[in-house]
Amino acid sequence: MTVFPSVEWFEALSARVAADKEEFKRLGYFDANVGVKIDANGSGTKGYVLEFACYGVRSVRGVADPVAESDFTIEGSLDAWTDMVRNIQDHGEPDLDHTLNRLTMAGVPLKVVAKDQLEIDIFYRFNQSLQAYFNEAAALPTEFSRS
Amino acid sequence: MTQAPAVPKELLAKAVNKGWTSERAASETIEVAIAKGFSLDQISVALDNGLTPERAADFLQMALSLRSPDGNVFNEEQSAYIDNLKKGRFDLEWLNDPRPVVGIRATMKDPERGLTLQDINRAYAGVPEDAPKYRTMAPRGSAFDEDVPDMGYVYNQKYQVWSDNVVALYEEACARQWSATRDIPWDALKPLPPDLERAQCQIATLLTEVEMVASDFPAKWLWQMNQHFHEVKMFLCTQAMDEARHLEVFRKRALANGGGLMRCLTGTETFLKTILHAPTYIQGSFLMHVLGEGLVLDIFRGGEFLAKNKTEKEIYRLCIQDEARHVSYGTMHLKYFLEHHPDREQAIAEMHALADVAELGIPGFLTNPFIIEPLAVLMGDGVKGIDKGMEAVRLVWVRMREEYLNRCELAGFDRRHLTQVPEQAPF
Repeated sequence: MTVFPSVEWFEALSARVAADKEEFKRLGYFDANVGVKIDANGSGTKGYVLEFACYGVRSVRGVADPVAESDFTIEGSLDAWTDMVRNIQDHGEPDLDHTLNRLTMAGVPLKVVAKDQLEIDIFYRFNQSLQAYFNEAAALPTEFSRS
Repeated sequence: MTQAPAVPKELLAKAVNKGWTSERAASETIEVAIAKGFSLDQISVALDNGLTPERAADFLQMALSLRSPDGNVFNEEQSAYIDNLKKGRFDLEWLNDPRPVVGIRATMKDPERGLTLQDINRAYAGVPEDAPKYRTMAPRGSAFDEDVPDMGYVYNQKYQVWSDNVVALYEEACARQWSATRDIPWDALKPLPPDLERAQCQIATLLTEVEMVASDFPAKWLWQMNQHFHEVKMFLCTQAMDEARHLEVFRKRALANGGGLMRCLTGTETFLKTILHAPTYIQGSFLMHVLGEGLVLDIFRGGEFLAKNKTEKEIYRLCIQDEARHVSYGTMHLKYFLEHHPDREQAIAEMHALADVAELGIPGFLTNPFIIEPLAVLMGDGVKGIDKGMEAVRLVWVRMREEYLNRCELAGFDRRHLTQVPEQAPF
């Protein structure tokens, strides 16, 4: 069981993508550095950069400032992220209220940030693949961190 | 020998009316056409479609050149070649021609992905010239005859069509195609209360109506673009396919769950006509790729946000991806156009004049009850919750305006202080 959020958790998710390659091939390749920024309930910020390349994830890194090192970053509180992952696990996929587009459209509880609009548009261009990536959490044994 | 029938006076008058120099010149050309077997109806339709005397002469000359003067199937050159073939003598000029560059071996940067256009462009002739000398379909980098015909391309300069992301977007588009028949979980569609079904169908009808303009538009301009810029033409072909699929998927949604095709409005059609009949490619591209598709991209995002089942979620999410590619091309094309235009200041002034008017389409779009009320009903989970649902419309208003202005800014076309679109919804 891996702890969410952590580099190991994202690596485990990425390993599931590698095992499910045919599905990701069907969706088409996905080239982008995706930042994840998690405000850990008052105990600082956790940042990750997921390097998507072709049909998988080439690397996962823990970073201090994901916005500076990614094409776009999805940021939000630990509660919001945890709620999304738990929802995926509870339903085997996100319910109607917990897709990435739904959670980010209003800027709350999650928000997409980037240096410019073209990079935010990358989030839209690869949305289905990114959703499929997080959907892999459905079967990933996870321990949820509280900070 | 039978005499060619006299050319009707009405046809001659039509030719002169369409700009042919004189009835006599028109009569001579039309007589040749009739002698070649074309009917009066065919000639009349060709005139209606803008056939010029030059095009007619070229076409008839080509038709004549394909036959030998004595009426044989093979002309003199072909007959000579056939004689040589019978004697076992092959031409082989193509094999010995020193002009083609050979020995090119493009390699895959990533074998898992395959051989991409980027790989090919890295290997050979990957950078289009700014203003290619010829107007030919001969591939960029090939050897070709000096006397190739002029294809009549109108857009022969790179800045008129190019964007620096177009090659990658083409590959991305090819890799991310989907099927409205196969890839949508239609079996997850469940009956909705009548007001929600009607709301979904009104939106689906609007999208069925508007999406195809983004197929018609590139189709209109494609043949006018010099094939030297083949990547742009190829990308626009993917866009035409994307939009055909969008029409398909929204028509299917409207007709698959107990609702139906709803109402289309004159105002919407007027905006579509403005795009379709834009006088230049850059003007149309701005109206469609940057402004129109930018608005629709947010409608798609809103559609996913408000979806009542997995079927609609999937439809909107897949459409978001397609639309964002088109918007990305349009944004970067505007940037390239403005950065490389020979008279940049004038170009920017002209685009501002266009944007001053075109942007009024945003408030027009978002004060249209046939657009915003269905969205509000979906957000409010029914007509009873329409007031609450208007919050979503206000959100969409702010997003549409902001993302549009961001894209303009990125293209070096700052509209933030010029736009008259209110920052917030006025309701």
